[in-house]
Amino acid sequence: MTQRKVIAAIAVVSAGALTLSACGSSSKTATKQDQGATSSVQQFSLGTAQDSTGPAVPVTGATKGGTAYDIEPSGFDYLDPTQQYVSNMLAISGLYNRTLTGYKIDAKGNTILVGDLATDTGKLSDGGKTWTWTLKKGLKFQDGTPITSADVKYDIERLYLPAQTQGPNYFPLWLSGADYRKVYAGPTGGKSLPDTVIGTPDAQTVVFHFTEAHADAPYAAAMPPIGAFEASKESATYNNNPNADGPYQVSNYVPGKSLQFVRNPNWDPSTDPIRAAYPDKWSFELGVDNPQLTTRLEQATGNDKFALSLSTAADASQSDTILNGSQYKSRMVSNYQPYVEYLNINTTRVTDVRIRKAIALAFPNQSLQKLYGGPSQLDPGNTLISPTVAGWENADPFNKTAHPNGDPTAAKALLTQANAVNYKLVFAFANTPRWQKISVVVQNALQQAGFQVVLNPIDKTSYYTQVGTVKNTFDIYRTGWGADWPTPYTDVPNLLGGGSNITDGSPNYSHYNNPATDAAIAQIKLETDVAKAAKEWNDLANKVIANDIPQVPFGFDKFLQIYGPGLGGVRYNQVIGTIDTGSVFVKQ
Amino acid sequence: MTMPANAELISDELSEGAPSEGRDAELVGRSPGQLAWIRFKRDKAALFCTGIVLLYFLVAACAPLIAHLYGQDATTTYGLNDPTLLDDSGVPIGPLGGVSATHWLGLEPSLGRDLFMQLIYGMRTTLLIAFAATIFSTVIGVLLGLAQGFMGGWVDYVFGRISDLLMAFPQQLFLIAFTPVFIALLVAPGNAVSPLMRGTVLVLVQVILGWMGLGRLLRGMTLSLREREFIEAARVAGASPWRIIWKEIFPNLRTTMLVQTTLAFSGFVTTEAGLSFLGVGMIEPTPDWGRLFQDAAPYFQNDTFFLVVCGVSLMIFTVAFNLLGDSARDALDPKTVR
Repeated sequence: MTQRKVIAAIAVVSAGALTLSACGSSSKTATKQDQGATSSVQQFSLGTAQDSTGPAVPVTGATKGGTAYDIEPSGFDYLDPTQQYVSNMLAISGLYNRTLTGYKIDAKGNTILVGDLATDTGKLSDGGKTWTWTLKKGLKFQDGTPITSADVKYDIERLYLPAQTQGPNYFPLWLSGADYRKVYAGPTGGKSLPDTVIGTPDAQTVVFHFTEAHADAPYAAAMPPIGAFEASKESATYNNNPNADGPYQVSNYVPGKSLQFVRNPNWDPSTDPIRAAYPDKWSFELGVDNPQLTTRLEQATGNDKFALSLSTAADASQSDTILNGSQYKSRMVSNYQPYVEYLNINTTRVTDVRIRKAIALAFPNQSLQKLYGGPSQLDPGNTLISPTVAGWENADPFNKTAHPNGDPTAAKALLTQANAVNYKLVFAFANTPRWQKISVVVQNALQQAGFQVVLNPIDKTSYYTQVGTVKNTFDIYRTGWGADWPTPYTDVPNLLGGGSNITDGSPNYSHYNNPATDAAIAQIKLETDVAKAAKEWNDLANKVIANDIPQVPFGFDKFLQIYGPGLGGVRYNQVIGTIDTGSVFVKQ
Repeated sequence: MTMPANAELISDELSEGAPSEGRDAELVGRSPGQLAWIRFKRDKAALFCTGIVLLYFLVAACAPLIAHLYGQDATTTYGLNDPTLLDDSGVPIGPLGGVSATHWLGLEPSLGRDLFMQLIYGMRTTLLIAFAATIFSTVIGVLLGLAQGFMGGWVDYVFGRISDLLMAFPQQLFLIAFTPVFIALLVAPGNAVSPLMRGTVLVLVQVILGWMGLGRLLRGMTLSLREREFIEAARVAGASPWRIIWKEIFPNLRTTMLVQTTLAFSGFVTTEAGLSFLGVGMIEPTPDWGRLFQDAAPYFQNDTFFLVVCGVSLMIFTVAFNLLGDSARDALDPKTVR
């Protein structure tokens, strides 16, 4: 998923406040502060049928009842699960929408994929082309109607509707190819996909026939659109009033202002291995911007005592306050987001691999970490793939362990060898205070290594559009990317795939085009063993980064936030990079 | 017989600025300029503010010399080079944002440059741009205002409508929208925009929207002066229009011009700072006062001293300059009661 850009709100301070605060200036000592999470490599393995049976494992000390509050800066564009792709919507989807599979997170944060609507994570046959899921017994929509395989089929068919453009479209792509919208226009006209594409042999079984092998299908089936849909509930206002099959249903929704959930009486906890659903109600307050949001969670007065923010990290200016305040230790979430930060090198302009390697060697990773706000905001890393993805292995292709802030001598030697001393590099960056500062550091480091750096600030609202244009006039620029599910399947082909993948707006921002890599990608896609594929993806990515250097990965984004002291069982979902709603309870 | 009120006033007027001998002293002929200067000198606040403003200009002008004596410079990232100066999140270690014998005002967070150097070099940039903007907008305002008022007719109409049009523009939005456009027009993409070019563009956009106030004021004054008897007399005596403008009308506008210009200058300083605050002003690595203030805002909790240094320095300057403008007005035009 493309990274949601958090626009740092600028605190406007009046001259009056200036003089008032003059007496309260901080004095800091060199004590070692909390560094935030360190990486514990997860495998995100597939759970068994046993893991997929409900009810959810009880949380120690949890009690039922109460209202959990959530404050969010922006409203939700879509409550219709078929349209949900952005992390803030992925975070709330699980409250009312169940999917074929889902992520089960234990108290230690270990995450596995289990069956949610389905009895397990799916069975493959025909070399990975055919996937079969069996639905659990006793599943109902909020009006009491039992959920059948036809409802699952209908939900997938909705992804073909011309209006459904925002959600992840992996299933239609895999079922009907790149031109899936021409093949079928959705279920509204009463037309249905043939059984040779999605079969429903009985009310409990749904069979997907993909055109190619897709070992990652169980993970793709955990995304919001891959659930069940009651065809009779289709309406123009569905987006504001979705039909629930999860533990809660929408009771009141004022778009952009507030959203209330109450219990869904027809949800059976014994079918659900993921959601303990302790609170009786969830109440969302929308439109509260940072840093006010963070300050409210810090102070935790009134209902804010029971409040959290599922998808919004603490304002960067507050991270020191949170990390140094002992009162926040017990209610802090600090973990990885799925996003990796890259410096892309435009390979259509910088064609000499030695020059690209010199950039990588000279890049000042450590200074960038500091400018991102320290270890609580960015973990230094040099891999294309994030630690939140299965099979991740650390690598150090550019010798950053010995030279965390770049090695200008080695870089200069390479440049001299390439006969390119004083090579002109156009560095494009979003014109924000942080990136202006970073541009200073990058310019200094690269100039020390013998480059000539031209700074090209771009308006932050059009930044991704401009650097995403294939015929851009920039040499180096930063982008971020996060995997859609915890295998490298949505990383490597998107970021390193050449040929037809290089289009305007494609995530291959460096225009890397190597037929050998493309062949390797095509081959790994056919691998049916997910764990083996993950290893192969990682090896391929590390090889490309070390040898061809289309990108210089420089860090893994992190999530730091606190929640109200009246809440317990708060766990973090590394896959989507938000707090998980399943185990949250209100302390009585 | 009661003394006429008028006589009292006149004698008081004449005695102003006279030495301690008072009324008994011999009457001395003084030009309006001398009288104004005498009045100005008696205003304690005015002198104090002049001192402050001159100090700011002196510090800004001598920034390289101060840097040389001080031993630090504005570009070195001390905090990144020496890990003991900044903590992991980039906030200076030590009291008051890392104030020490080496770094008198401490360090700037995140990049760890010397704050004192950033401040005085930033002042230099801001004051230079504001100064240039003031000069050019005053020149344009005076020329167009005089031309409009003196020539009247279609000249008055055309320039009057142009200034109406420009005054109707939302200034902040215009500056935000057009600064990048001007830069794109003047510099081919892929080339570095030099600080000089960026500064020129900033001056340009501010001048485009900055001359109308003075222009309109002078047009009105010229219009009324044009019909006065002494102008008629000059015309009858056969003076050229140029002589009438320069020798007869212009001296009557000088006071207004001076007052307007001093007030405009502090306005340009805050506008320039505001532009940087909004992200369309000078960019790194050119030090800038307004941007420094913008950078400080998010640190109001973790490094309050940083914000205080930037904010208070800008506040003192603006207040001093505004008071100076007021005092200048009082000195030049003592009859207007505020």
